[in-house]
Amino acid sequence: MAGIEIPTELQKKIEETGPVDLMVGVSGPAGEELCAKAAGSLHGIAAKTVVVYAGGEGSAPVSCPAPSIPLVAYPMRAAQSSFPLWADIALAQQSILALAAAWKVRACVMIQSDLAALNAETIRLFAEPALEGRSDLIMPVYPHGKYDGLITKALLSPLSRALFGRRVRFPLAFDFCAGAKALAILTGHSSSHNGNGSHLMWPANAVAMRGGQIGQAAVNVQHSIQTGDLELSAILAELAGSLFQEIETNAADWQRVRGSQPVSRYGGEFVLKHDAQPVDPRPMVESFVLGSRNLEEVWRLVLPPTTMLELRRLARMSAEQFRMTDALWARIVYDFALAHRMRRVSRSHVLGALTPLYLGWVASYTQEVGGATAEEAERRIEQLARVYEEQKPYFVSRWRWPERAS
Amino acid sequence: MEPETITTGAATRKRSTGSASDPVWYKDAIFYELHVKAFADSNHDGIGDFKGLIEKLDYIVDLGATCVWLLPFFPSPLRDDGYDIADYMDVHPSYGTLDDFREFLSVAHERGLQVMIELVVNHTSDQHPWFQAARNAPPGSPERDFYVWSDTDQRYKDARIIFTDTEKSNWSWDSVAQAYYWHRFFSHQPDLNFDNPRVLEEVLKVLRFWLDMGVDALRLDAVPYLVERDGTNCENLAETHTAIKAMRAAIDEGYENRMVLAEANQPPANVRPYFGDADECHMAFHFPLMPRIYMALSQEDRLPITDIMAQTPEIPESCQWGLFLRNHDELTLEMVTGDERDYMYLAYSVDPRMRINVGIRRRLAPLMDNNRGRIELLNSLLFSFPGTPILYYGDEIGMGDNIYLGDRNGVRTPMQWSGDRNAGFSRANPARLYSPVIMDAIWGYEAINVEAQEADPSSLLNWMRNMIALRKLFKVFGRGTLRFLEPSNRRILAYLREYEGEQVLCVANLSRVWQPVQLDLAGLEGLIPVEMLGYVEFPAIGPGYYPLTLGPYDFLWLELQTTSATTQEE
Repeated sequence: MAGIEIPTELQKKIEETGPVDLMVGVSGPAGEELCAKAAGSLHGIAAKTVVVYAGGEGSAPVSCPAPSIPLVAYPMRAAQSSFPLWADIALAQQSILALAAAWKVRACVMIQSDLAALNAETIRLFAEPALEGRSDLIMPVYPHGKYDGLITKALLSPLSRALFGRRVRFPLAFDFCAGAKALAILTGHSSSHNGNGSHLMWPANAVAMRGGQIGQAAVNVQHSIQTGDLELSAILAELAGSLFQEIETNAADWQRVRGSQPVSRYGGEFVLKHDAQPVDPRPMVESFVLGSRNLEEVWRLVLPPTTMLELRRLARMSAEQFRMTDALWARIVYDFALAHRMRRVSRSHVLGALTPLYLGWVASYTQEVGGATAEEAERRIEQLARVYEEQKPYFVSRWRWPERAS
Repeated sequence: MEPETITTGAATRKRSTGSASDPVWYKDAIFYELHVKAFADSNHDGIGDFKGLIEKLDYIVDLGATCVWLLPFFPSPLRDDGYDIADYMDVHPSYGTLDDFREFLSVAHERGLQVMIELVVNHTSDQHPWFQAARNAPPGSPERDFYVWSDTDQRYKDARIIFTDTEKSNWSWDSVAQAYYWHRFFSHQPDLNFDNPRVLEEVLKVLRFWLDMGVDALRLDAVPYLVERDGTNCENLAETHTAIKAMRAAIDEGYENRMVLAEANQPPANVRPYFGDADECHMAFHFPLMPRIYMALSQEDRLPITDIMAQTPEIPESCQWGLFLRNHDELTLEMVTGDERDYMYLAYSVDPRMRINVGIRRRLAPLMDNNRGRIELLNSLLFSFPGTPILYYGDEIGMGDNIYLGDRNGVRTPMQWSGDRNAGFSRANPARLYSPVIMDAIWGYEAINVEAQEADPSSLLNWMRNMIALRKLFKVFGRGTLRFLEPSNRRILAYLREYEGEQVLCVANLSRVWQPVQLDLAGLEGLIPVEMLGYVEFPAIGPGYYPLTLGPYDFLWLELQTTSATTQEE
């Protein structure tokens, strides 16, 4: 793999151990709890298992008296990205992929360094379909309520689904499992598309493009919120920008895909949370209106006149009346993806100008599902995904002939 | 990446890797041919140079080209625009230095561009030290033997004269050597003697010199004429192929992912041997196709195209045709019949000044009378025919030519970057430019330039960018098979391209007026044609003829989609 060098000592260890069935890769440094959690969750899943975690300068190796599962530290490269948290995870994932290839593993479960996914049930849900050859890649579906993960629901998931053709709910999850075929795909994809290694990995999209079988597992994993004090616009820019880049890189592939296919499901029904607190849409509508005043110059360079007219109409509405249609939102996302590719405006400006529009859609969504159950909200999200698919020809058409649309 | 050190006997040399990772990268490539001298002048001396070219590489990348083909840039008296080389291993001082070239190569590679240069080894300049040594050396000496000498000008009488406007014989008398020397081109370009093994050794040194530097591809200039034999026309001889095989073997032995392209202006059947069994050239120009495309357009009849393609043999899997509409030379009519040549002269060169040798010295846009529809149609054929398209600098903006300049210089004028002085090409005194820029009202740089077309969403430049980007999305164009359809309306050219399950139907109206057509698409029933530029679904193909109507010079690229990939319910 490009840019990943396995230290001699580690290489020697790999040779001594020989091929491994299951690797659990922790995409970051781990604490002492790794020892107990690994021991408690990994027995009986595969004949030969190894756990790898990020080590490196300044971090002491996990001390594990008489470990029943080998724990191996891999060197962690320093991230150069302005988003240290996710860049670190991306770099760690690259290292884990390199180790998985060197160890010739049959399945590799990637988990976040909070170890929330390191429990017997989750590892089994992830690993078994890969080890048994039922799926090449298993993505998680986390428990979620109607207001959780809205960037994923509004943009990342439906856009990935429409373009890459697989109905994956969390396409950017940092917990997932890759079987041998998916590992080969991700290793190749990563070397050819990832200059400095800090580009976020979109495993489901990459595997879908190479014809791999994808499954989704209903995992009962709750991560602590990682975005901390980061601003919404920065998070949205990072995530949307990463997906837009992925779209540009794979343009020759996703334009062949028509419609979408369901993926295999593991672990029963997805867990929906019903304890959502009411959301006030007014601040979001205000942000939209403010954006329509301050960012219209950028919007006009990105969006066609008909969209601009609809946005102006929306900006005149009261918060109660405010409704951005799914079709309008999907076309906006497609136009922003195109503007990101065309670079007629700087990418940071393009991505920054997306936030008020996103808030406009979220305001509409929260009003629509305010009185709905979690199940009804799920159907609402499914409806949005279908609209993205319906609008895909608009995107392909504009991508192929990117003159200003009407 | 650091160059690798190679030791051969007592000699050591540095070898850089090429920039491509796919061994057949040239199949999906878009070539962009340019003169260093004509592209951009960084030091204001009126002549383009490598530093200027480096500054313009982003333009080439934005256009969508993937390989830059540089015309000769070596030290030369420049009596044949650099094809008269006086030193194979250096850069002409007007264009910069070897270090400038290395920098250019490095920057091009950083931008994902491959680089092809010229290997002009059929002949040298008469100023080359080899020739100066040869003419002063005694007959039979190793130095003398680098060239082809004779006491008489009656040998090889069956070899045609190529530059008919200037040369009366392929032999010229050298008063120093007191002998005739052989030249297939200008008399100041003596042919090297490939019967002498030392010549091939020296050629391989040249080849390695550039490939070691990291150059990705070499164009073998005038390759059919390397060897001469009495009783033949001195073209395409077996001994010539032996020499090419030796060059290819040296490349395969020492380098990965490099390419050689044959310039063999011959009928397709005679070009086929230049691919060998995939052990000679990776690519060869398809010379006869080009004039026939123009003929088909003028006659509004597809026959000239389908006829020449029917004569085009299969080539090895790893090989590829190089396709072009125009290049730095005249639109050559050597590979058409006498009647066809007369027709082409009448159709495309009203003014005799437009003709040179056996061809027409004009650029694409003037040949098309600046008709945007015709320019687009021809480019659509270039981008959709089996082979790798090669663009000539300036044709992407519809640059004109200057028929009042001598030789082929009328199509080698400075690139028109903007409406500024000297077309933005140079800040030198206009009188100092290597060639005047084009200044007339229709073709002048104030009317046609990059800056204006970049600002105009409907410009030819933006159209070309879109078309190139579209072509690059579909490997079928570079790698797929070709099958012509035969609708009764011969003004319509229709063909099917197929590659690994990907099918594209191309339909072109060669006529200046609307045309109906009924296509026999038997075997494709049920497929849905999707117009590729706008991604618009057409009616599904049924059991009968498929009717289409095309406006003047319209073309359609239709991706044939199956119906099975629609959304499945969960």
